Amino acid sequence: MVFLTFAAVIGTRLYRLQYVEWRQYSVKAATMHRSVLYSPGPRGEISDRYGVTLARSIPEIRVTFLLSELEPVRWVARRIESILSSAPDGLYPWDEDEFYNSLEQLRVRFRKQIARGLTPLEVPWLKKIDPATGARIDRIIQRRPENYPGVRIQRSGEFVTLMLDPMKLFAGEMAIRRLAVEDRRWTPDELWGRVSRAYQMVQDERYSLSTRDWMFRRKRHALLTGLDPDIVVKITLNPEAWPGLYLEEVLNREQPLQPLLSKLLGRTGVVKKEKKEQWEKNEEFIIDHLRLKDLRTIQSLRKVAHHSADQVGHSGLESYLEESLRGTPGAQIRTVDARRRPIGEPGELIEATRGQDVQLTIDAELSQAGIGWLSDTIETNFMSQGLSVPDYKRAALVVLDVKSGEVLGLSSLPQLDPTVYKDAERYREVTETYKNYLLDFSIRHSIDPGSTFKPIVALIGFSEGVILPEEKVLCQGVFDPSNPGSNTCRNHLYGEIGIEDAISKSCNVYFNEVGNRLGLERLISGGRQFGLWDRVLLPHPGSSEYLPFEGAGVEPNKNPVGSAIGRGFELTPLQIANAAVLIARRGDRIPISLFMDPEAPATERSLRFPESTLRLQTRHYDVVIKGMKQAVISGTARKSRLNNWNAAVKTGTVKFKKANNRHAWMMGFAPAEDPEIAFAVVLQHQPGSGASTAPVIEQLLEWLEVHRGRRFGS
Amino acid sequence: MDRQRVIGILFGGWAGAASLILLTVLLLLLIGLVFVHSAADNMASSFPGPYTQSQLKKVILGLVTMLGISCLSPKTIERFAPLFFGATVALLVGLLFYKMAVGGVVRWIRLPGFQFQPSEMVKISTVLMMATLLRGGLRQSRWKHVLSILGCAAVPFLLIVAQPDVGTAMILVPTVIAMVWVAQLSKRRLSLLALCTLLLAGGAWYSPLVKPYHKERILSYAGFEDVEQVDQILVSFVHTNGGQPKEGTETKSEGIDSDEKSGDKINKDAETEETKDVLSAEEKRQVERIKKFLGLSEVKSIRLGSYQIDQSIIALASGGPTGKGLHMGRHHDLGYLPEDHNDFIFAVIGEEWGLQGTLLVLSIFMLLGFTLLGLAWSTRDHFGRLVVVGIASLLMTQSLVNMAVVIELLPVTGLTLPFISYGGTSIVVSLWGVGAVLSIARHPMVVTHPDGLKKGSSPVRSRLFR
Repeated sequence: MVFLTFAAVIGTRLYRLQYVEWRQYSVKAATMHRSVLYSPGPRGEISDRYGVTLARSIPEIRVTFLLSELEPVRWVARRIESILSSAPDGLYPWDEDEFYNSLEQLRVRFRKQIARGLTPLEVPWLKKIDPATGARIDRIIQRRPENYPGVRIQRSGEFVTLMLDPMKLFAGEMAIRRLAVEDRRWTPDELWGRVSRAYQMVQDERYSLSTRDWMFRRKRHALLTGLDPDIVVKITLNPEAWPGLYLEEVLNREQPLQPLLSKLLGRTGVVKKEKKEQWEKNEEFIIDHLRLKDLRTIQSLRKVAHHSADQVGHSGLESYLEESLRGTPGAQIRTVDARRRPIGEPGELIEATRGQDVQLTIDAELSQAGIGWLSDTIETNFMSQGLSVPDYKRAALVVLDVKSGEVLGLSSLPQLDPTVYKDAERYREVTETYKNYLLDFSIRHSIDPGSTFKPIVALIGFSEGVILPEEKVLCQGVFDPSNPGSNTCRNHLYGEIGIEDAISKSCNVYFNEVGNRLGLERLISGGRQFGLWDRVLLPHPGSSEYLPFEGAGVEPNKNPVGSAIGRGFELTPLQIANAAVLIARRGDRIPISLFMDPEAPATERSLRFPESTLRLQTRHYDVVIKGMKQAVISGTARKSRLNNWNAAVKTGTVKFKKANNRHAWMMGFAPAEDPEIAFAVVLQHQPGSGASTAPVIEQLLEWLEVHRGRRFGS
Repeated sequence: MDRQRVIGILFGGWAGAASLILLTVLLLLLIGLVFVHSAADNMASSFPGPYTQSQLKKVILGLVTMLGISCLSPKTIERFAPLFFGATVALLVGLLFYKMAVGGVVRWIRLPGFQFQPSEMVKISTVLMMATLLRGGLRQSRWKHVLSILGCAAVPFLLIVAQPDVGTAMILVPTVIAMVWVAQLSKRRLSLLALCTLLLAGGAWYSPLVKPYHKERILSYAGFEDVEQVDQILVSFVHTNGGQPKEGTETKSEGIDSDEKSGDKINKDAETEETKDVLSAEEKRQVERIKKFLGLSEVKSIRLGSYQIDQSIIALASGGPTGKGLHMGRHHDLGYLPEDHNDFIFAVIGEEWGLQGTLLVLSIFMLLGFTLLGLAWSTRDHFGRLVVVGIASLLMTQSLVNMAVVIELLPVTGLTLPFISYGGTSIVVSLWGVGAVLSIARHPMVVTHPDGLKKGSSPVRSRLFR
């Protein structure tokens, strides 16, 4: 009896579920779907030597739209056409386009009504449909109502009418327009224009059918970022009111100290076509373009997977370190109902993993201070000549650690205007107006090094035996008296001059002579031993490639006499600073590193560095360094305050025909005896001579003493 | 053994209830194979798929052993019942020690090549053991005797609960009660026993044997949407049962009265609503105390178990009256319904065969159940009658509970649908039980009486089956 009662209860319940209420459950089952939500992996952080963040990923809410859900008009037309075309006797001869155009006319009317503040009412769309076809349409709509938004059957007499509710059919457009009104940054027409453009792309036959299909059915087209939190809450709480719109968390790249080091760090953005092709070639996937259902497959593909919203490095370190920095996308499987609300337990989740962090050897604070020193010095140079300061200042300061070979400071002017890549007009303006605007002037852009090349020439000369340290050269103001117009020297009193004075007073004739004796080939090969005309920075520990955006300079190709005083070829400030390190270390080569690598400190890496082929002794370096020290006391930099420190420098001035247009250089190191730092500074296209750069170095040494506790003697 | 005797052992006694039992069981096994294929195997794979093949092997093993057991005489079964019971209990004890050593949930014994679940076996062994103990009847028994028999049943019950597998253990309760009832325990004692069972069940709620997830399932079934809902109920309980009414509430009621006079009720109503949502510290403490008392303090989300049930209802009901067709059950096929080939296979049947399919399965189970009960009615041997009643109530309870869970009439128990759900031990052991029943059906007792009458209170087995 107990069992019989129990069975009767079960039978009654089954009857209720499977006979009385089955339709509503059927709709539920049909509209429920499993959705995989992919999340892009955050890129690793780039920080300076003290852990100050230079570049990081920050999450941001983005509104995207799915065209197939937002704009179902074409699909409704197609589905209705498909049903009606199967009616007997060709009762309904209209094709899909005619249905579509009819719906578009309704849309025009709908927009007018909305603009007038009216609520469009349900209207009869197709009349006089025969009962059999009507019943068929009704059945199909009942089975998949989400495929026919706003469409319903109404029986009127012996015929059937297809009714249409514009508020449901055009709910996507309504949502977009409502979003524009609430967001206030765009007009409703402008925002809807974005959807229209996406829809035009879908209809563009230049794209393959599969791409168009993807763009229509699955691509989440970006609509807006930086939404007001109130709107985010509204969409989250009531997604049904915003059909076709989705909220996604995207990761934007931020450089907190922008524009400092922006050119070095480079920029990120959405993936470009070339990069996509490269991924395809390497069998790497954009995971959210795949239709995966189970997490096991997703897990196995993650390592070679990208996300379409991934920020990809386009230039600078962001591009060079792409493989290290890029994160791994995550995924969550969710079951959502017809209203896109997640149901049941939270789905299985694979957390997105952050890319590898990269720490640079750079001291951001020092680099930031360097920008100020460069800018101030250029302004002073212009103003002291009674000239107006130009907008476009070009200068660079490179500071290297002599002991470890680490890059301590990189300051480059002009700094990158962050709006350049966001505004095409601004981009065109700066690139057309300002030459080399986008280049980093400390490591990329190369110019004539002028007299800063002279200590190197002297050492090459000693190495090659073309001149001895004790040898003196007669300077009469011109290298070749038969050609008084070129290779002149007006830097000191004429007479015999030795290496120390030649360096401290920057005698041109002495070095013209050395260059003449060396010849071009030996000058170049010797220069290469000092790291010139080659990439200086050691590759990142995770890579074997040198930094592609580092400038290599331009080799001299003629006239060794002129080249010996630093004209007719180009070097970057980094290369000059690197040469200063080599002189400071008395020929003990050390690789220059931009990346902190705790596993292989610079001293260890230097062991792997190839031996120099220069045949130089310490005494050769000593005389050159003595000359550089002398420059501060009685040489070209004697008027500066640099004699307050125990520094060894070499100035350089590159003059152009146009008045008040010079490159002013200074390279050197401090303290002179046991050097800790080496530097190179250049102020381009300004009126000052090499000595005018001294304030930059003075402030550098002072700053390092005050802020970093270094001691440079006196 | 002569040929005639062998034929007699193999083919004798199949007339009547035995063949009907065999037929219904075979029908259920066939339905099981079809729906295991539909639920677990790829739609594209041919029948039988990997899961179905595995199930088929177990069905064949179960059928062979079932037929073997059915050839044994009830006397032999009775003789081996204590041994079988002792062995299965020993296995459960062994598992308990293993569980204490390694921790976690331990229900399976894994041997090279196969694995089995002793708790499934102990269900049958308990029925056989109880039948052996109760065969003398309980009408004249002393309490001591009754309690010792019930204590014997309590041993496997507690061992299964300790695994923990409360669902399987709970099946033993109605089975034992049915057997005790058939053993003619007096109504007074039976009522007392039922009362004790209820009290014990109440006490078990607070014992460590009932885990938080059991409570979650039961509360979910009871209709609590979330913890807040429980909170609200508890708050109202606090207010109406000696909890100190908070000052704010009193002030509000005064406020409403005065405002009704001034005609500004709406604002004050809104204020009252706002204040109601805020619990005072004292109220929160009381709520926490009550929740702790109810054993709810560690429950994070009471509605966790409902996903499975929601999906099960959607799958089953979406089949409608006629179903979506075999292998057309998209809802379970897309993986929305967890355990669709196991505990929730009835939902798959409902989705693919509709109401007609679910009623068919229900009817087959009822037919099997009532055939078994009819057999019990007609069996003269007390041991046989008790075994048949025990097996019948075991199978009926398990099948009805499984169906009731799928349609949300009962909280989730984790019980499988006998003969249909995917699972090795469950199928084989259920068939062993059917084998025992068939043995009793095929070997009816020939009743003899000293005065030659056909009925009497002291039946003696025919020599033929000794």
